[in-house]
Amino acid sequence: MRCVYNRLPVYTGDISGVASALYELGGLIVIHDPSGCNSTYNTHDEVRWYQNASRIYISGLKESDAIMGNDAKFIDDIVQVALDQHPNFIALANSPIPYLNATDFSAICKKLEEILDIPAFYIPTNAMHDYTHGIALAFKALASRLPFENYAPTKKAINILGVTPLDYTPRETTTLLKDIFHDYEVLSIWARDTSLKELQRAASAHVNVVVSSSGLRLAQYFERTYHIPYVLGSPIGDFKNVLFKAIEEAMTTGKSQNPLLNKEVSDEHIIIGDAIIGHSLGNALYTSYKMITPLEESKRIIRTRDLASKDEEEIEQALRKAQTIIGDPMYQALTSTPVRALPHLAFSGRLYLKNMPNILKGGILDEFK
Amino acid sequence: MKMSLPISQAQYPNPFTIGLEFNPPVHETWNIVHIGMQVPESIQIYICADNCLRGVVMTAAEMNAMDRFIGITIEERDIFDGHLEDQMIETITYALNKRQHLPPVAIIFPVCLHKFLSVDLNYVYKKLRATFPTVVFVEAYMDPLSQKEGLAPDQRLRKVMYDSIQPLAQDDSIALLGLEVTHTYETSDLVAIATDHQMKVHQLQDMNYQDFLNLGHAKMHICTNPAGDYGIQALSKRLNAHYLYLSPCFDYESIQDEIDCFCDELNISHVDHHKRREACEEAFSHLKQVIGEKVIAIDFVATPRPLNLARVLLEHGFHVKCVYLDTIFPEEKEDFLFLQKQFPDLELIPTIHANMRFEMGEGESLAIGPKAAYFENTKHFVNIIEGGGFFGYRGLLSMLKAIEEAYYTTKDPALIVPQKGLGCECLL
Repeated sequence: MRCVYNRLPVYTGDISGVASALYELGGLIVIHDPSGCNSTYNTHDEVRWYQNASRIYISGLKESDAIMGNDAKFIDDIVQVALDQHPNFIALANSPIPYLNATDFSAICKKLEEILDIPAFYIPTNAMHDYTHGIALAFKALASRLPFENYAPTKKAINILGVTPLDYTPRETTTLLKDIFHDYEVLSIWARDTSLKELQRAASAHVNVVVSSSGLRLAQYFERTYHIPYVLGSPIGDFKNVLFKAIEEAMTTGKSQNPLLNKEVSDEHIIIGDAIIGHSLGNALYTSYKMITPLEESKRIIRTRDLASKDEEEIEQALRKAQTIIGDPMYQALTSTPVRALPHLAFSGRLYLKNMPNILKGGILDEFK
Repeated sequence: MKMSLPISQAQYPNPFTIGLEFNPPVHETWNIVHIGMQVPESIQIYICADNCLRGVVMTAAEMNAMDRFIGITIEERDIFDGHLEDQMIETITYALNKRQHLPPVAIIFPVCLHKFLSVDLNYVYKKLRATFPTVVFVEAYMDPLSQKEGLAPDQRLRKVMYDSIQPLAQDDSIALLGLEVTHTYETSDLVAIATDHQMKVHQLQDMNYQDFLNLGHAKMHICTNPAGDYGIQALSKRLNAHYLYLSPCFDYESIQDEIDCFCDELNISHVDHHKRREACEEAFSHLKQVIGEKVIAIDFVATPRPLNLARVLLEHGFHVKCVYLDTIFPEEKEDFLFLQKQFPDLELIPTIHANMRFEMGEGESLAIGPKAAYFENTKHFVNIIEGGGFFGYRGLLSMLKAIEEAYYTTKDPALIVPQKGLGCECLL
């Protein structure tokens, strides 16, 4: 049944997605929320919180202020912290109650810019979507406000879009990505181990490589606005050769490429999770497979007989014929077939953090075969 | 920006102006999921937006209790169609029907959004009770929007979670409720005195559902946690039991008052305070010899009486540098005023102020409490919450012993303090 979670958790929410996307960029990220959003995020969805400080706060909204529309307090509190901490930008995220009472965030951003002379923008979350949606909104909002620089790359240049610890948790992810794409100049990685300054070079790339569905909307924005084609796929196992080819094709033709959806669908091998990562894995491992994705931004990257659903029973049904299942270990609750564990921070949180494999390393795929 | 404030310059009860809030990675305090799980064999049902559900469902997952948890998400269409009552009834009915056995108790948590939209919860509960007559539906709330101007969700939960208990013929037993730590014979004079007088002390740990219902026999309810006071007071009134709120203090005079009050309620003779104070004085001297001028930091998570503890340690010559708190509890007002006069340099430091994001100590001090351990960045810390089940002279001696242990041993706070619900099962 829609909306009922009897055996599974929900994925990380949209607000946490925003925070994760903007974590390292020196901005002031304010969630207009009474309590809980920041705690949930930093406890279950953020591996950087303890060691790496970031300016992510909640407003601590009170009932009387929500009812009386006391936006002045919200503005004053942000101004005070901005004056103390000098952020690069201010990003405001919404939560259920300000969403219901239609708080005018755009006007608040305008006011903040007038007072502080710092870019301020609104990310229209409402806590009712998953993290892929939140990251997508955050990246797009940031890109639409970022003054991109003209940069002359020394060789063929790419950006890598959709890299946050929620999908790519291991610390060495960006080092590995740069190593894998060593034939290209990697201008920016949205958004991990990358400074705001590096992101400002992104419009000078020849191709965007979208390695998780969270990056797709940003890629489409770059395509529309700066005519940069994109390629969908994560450089997993042998699929990276297909990806390299697609990148070259995109550079030559100027057209976006999706090399993910060329294999047949079968019920025998099932992969659950983000569609770009899952399809890349499926392509690397099988001649045919089925993708199950409960994630919102992944729904646009599936084949006809794949399944885009959050419904426990639908997923359970789809798993019945499977001989192999790759997914987060928590999906074991829906099937007696052993799930080959690919822990996903955005699903099982910290539960399997100690044994989080790095899917970009070749050896791990042997365990899935 | 230095955030500490000498206590001499602080104002009661809010020494700091808190605007935007930082959430430090210290999560040992029990949340509503942990607290509700104390009702044996109960299940919890949360109806909320995805982002709100994430924190509570992962709490259940980390404490290995997913089989006692149901999440129901709210989507935009549920709000705009104005069918939130039907959505609650249909989804909860569906979820309960999917279970092999119905639970005796289902704790239901609607959220701020239901309140804001005036959802008719009476109608919802009436329908659910008619459909599942054997299930006690407990009317909880997860509405943090209200907590700054009213009761917090955990305070109200500590009242309604006992709704299935009915008044029974009273016996001589005592129920120690409204708290999440366990008092033992060794750490608490309450347990020791009651046990020495052949009175049974009930605590929620390791109970089955029948034991839980049998709490209706207790002639006296005691709470030592200010956050549990509202709920247990209401429970006592409903069950016609005596009620005592006893503060987990550390100074001799207050300890004596609390213990005498307890003994009077039980109609037993007072204990020999003189002998016990002598034992405490010896322990203070011993600890002072051990830790000398070691700097001490205390937080409000470790004990509801952080200023009282600071006062007692300062009076015994210890070097207490600071107390981490965001507000001063009413029962600490006298200690606050005393410290202002006698120890004006004692620093107060907030924990949720936005600028605390960038405050980190050098690791030189000894911390009492997990938040102090985090901010002081120290491996020497007393890892307790909510007073640790320490009460009376035994409690004071236990605290001094814990400080000595923290001095001699090291633990990595980064591995410990982010874990949720100290004392609960933890799969991390």
